[in-house]
Amino acid sequence: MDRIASKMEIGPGLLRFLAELKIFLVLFALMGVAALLSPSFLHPDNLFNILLQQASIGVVAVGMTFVILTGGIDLSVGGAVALVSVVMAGAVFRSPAIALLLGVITGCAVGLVNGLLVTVGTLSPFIATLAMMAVTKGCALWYSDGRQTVMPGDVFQYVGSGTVFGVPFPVVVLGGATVLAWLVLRFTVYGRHVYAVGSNARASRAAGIEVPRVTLSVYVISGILAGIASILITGRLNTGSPKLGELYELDAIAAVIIGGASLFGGRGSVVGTIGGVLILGVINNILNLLGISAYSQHVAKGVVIALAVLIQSGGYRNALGRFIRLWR
Amino acid sequence: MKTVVGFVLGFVVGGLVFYFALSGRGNPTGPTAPPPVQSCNLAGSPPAAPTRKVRIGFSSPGADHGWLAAIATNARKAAAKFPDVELSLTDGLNTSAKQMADVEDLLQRGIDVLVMLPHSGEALTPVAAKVRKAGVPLINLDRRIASEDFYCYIGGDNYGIGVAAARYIGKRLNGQGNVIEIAGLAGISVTRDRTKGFRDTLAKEYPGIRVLASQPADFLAEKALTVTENLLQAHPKVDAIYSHDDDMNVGVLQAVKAAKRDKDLFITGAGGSRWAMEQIKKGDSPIQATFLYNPSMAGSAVDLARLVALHRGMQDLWEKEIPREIKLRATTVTRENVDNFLELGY
Repeated sequence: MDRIASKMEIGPGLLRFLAELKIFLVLFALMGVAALLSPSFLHPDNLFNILLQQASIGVVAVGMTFVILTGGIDLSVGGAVALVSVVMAGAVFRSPAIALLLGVITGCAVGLVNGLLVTVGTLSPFIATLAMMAVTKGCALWYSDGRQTVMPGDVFQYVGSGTVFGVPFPVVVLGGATVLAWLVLRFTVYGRHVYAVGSNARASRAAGIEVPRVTLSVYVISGILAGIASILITGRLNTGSPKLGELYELDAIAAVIIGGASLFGGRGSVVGTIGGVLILGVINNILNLLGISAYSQHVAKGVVIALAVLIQSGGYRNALGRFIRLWR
Repeated sequence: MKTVVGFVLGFVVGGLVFYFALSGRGNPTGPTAPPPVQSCNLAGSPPAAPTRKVRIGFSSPGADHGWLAAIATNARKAAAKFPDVELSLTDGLNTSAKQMADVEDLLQRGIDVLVMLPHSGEALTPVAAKVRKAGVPLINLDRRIASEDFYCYIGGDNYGIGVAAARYIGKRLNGQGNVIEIAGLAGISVTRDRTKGFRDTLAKEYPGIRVLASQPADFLAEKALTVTENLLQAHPKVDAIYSHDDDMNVGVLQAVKAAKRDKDLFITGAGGSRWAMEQIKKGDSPIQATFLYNPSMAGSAVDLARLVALHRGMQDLWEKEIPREIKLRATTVTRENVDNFLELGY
């Protein structure tokens, strides 16, 4: 197995890393436009706000990267965030530590069920996680009776608003998750297996990779990270609510794709995903700063996402030629 | 290896199941919801009770927001008050199609009066015609159907919330200042009316108040947090925030605190949640007022439905029948009068 892994490491690593950074050119261009449009954009407080606002969706997107790299998809992350939030709100009255632990365990359990449905049940990831999205959201509403709960004590307040050496805690968590995921995907055998399963599951199996085990693991990772994201956003609001994580699945998938991943698996990177997450954050931020009307916000967001992917994927090259051929 | 993995998985799942079983459902801080009233005639009905039960159907659109959850709770509470009422409550799971089927099922089952809070007034108008043809009086709650096929309408005053908020903010700022508006879900009448009432009244009575920005946060606390952070960044001088919903204000308040602007501005909400009223009562919270749009209306709707079935009017009025329309006041709740309304907090 190790021999296969070393064979797969081809090409100069530095070049590949630079290619991963391409998305940041798009990000900086977008930031340049934003800075021209609004004087408050480049204020350090505002830039920190964007990082803080994107911390929980970013953690979810890191987990989503693993899933999409194997060619899967996880639609249940938003529901997992909601369920974890209300479970913690129910347990925090005993002890905040138990609440945090239960949060991570609940996220892990959701991922585990997803993974088992996909591997053991051989459901398609779309259907399995769609079902879990309904189950998790339903459980969250049922358990909380549709109510929000203010979290008592300081623990969640710190998780959401505290700082480590001046950096907000959620941003530290996002940074940590990103670096860890990047290291795992780039430098470990397991990471290469994740890419291999997404590139060609049959060849991977022939090469002796435990495909079901790898597949199961990425859903568990996604679930755990959704749990951690829920801890962050629950802390930021200092409130447990079944309405958290609304549309997280779509934003996370969008971020991963903007970051250069292929929905068919095998291609993508955590660094790109973070670029995608920040692009989404900058779009939301500048639309608010400029006070763009509610209806046109969706249009602007959609256009920027499409443009970002076109530039990232190089789909704009020879587009004219393909357009002409389409009508010939 | 496999056994270890299996053991860990078993432990995790087992632990989770155990926890759920132990902790039970429900929110430890909230009031425990009364058990659903399915049928009160099973045991010990008093001999003085009327010959037949009043069968009331209650069709709710769903219960995924604090306010809607309270609607269902209050309907049950109202029914539990009367030994002669039998309530059938349905949940439309947030789709008009499901709610339409719910209503048809209720008619099929046989009810004397129907209370309906439509998911969408327009989409449920045809089914209201069906209800009329079946000879069942309809109490239309909150969102209006698009026809006259209701016996009685009872609802809150969205436009009035905007008016009351404009007057409260205008008066507190002595007619001069900057406001930002955190709106609800874009494109629905609730949001439109709350914005329009606010703008119309400011233009007429307080032209010195400027609305710097108005952005939607979809009635979600999480989105309200982000939107408020961004707007506070863009506007260094803000004197008041007009938000469309108390549940969203959880996020607005966190954003204001994080930006350390809680001494520079005050916040108003809408709805009348328990949390909002507690904040108002404290006095030192930036949340200073809310305007009622209270789910108590569901309780009143069930009371009205019972009066209809018994062919009675409202006790203190002269008329022999209940009024055709009841629009509830968007009362301004501040620290001065909050104690009167605390019990209505949801």
